[in-house]
Amino acid sequence: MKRILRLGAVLMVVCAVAAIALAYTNRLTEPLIRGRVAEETQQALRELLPDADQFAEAPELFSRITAQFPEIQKVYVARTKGKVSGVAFLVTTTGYGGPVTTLVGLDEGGTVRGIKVVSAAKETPGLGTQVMEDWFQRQFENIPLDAQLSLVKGPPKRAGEVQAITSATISSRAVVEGVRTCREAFRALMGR
Amino acid sequence: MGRLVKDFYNGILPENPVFRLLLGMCPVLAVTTAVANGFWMGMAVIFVLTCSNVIISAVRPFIPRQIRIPCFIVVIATFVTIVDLVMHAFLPGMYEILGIFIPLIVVNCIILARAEAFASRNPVPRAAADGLGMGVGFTVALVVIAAVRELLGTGNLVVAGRALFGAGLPIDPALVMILPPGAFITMGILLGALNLVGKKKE
Repeated sequence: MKRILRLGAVLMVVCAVAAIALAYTNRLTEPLIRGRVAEETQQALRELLPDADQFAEAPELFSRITAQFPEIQKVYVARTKGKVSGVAFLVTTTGYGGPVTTLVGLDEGGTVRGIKVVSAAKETPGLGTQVMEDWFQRQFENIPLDAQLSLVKGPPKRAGEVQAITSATISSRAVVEGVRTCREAFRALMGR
Repeated sequence: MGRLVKDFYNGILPENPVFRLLLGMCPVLAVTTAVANGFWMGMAVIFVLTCSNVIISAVRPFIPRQIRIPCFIVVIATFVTIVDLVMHAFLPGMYEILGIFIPLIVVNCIILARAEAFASRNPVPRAAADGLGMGVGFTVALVVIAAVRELLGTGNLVVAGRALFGAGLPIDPALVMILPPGAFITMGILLGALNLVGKKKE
């Protein structure tokens, strides 16, 4: 009996010391982790909608579309000199290996101004992860709301066509699906 | 002093955890798709291995034999969680790529093997040298495997965010090398080559 108590006491001391060390590390890193995510989002939004000078999350718009578009995680409203000049959506779709998260920026007319794939960490390295490369993302720039968005193999021939990455069609499709969802959500919000 | 150098060197060649002991193969095969991934995985392992070796060696007189394994696990898990939090805060991109393999360092057999076989029987300086050597040996192995796979699989090497060969080598990249089979092929050929060299020396 005495031996069991002694063993338990030693384990308790070891765990207590570990808990203190972890609590301390957590307190140091937690604000950094949270701040970095927010800062990265702001930075990405500025790149997508360079004309705007202010971005704010819009929970009231989000609640209006979340039932119809569950893939959309967040809605941001961009303002230029106080006037609404665009909207951005954070959307998560399913790729080849897991979720693909994309930030999509649209101007007030619904034209896609740019996209940024925020996370595609579960896609095949070197293949699916190419959705994060500039040449792929730039294809989505300036696609008007009335142009049909489609994924093609080979070079695109008209506005709205996006060239799929060779050997990574499913990852490419995930991004296109995300952008398509955002355009639909924009239509729903604007009543068009 | 000479003894510490020997303990350190032991993990790099004579008992390299990957090429000689074949321990902790799961991350070795999974994260070696790019040199950067292999390098940061190695850094995380060096930190955990050295710190846990030092602590386990330092507290070894106070830990009763019967509960040494749970104590080792608590120490190891604590350092792994610290690495996990720090990486999340300072290297968010790499944190996302390495994903589950960072928390999985807790059950990596190299760490527990060194705790049980070395750190719990030797004084602190020797345990530190052993942890550092094993960690560096693990990192070198990861970087070598990753370099072969990245070079053949993508036709380029990215070191510190910069491509070494500009637009890439004039080869048609063999996609299979960055897919899971490429890990086994590379590993097998490297192991065979090392054994051949070892035999020649004898």
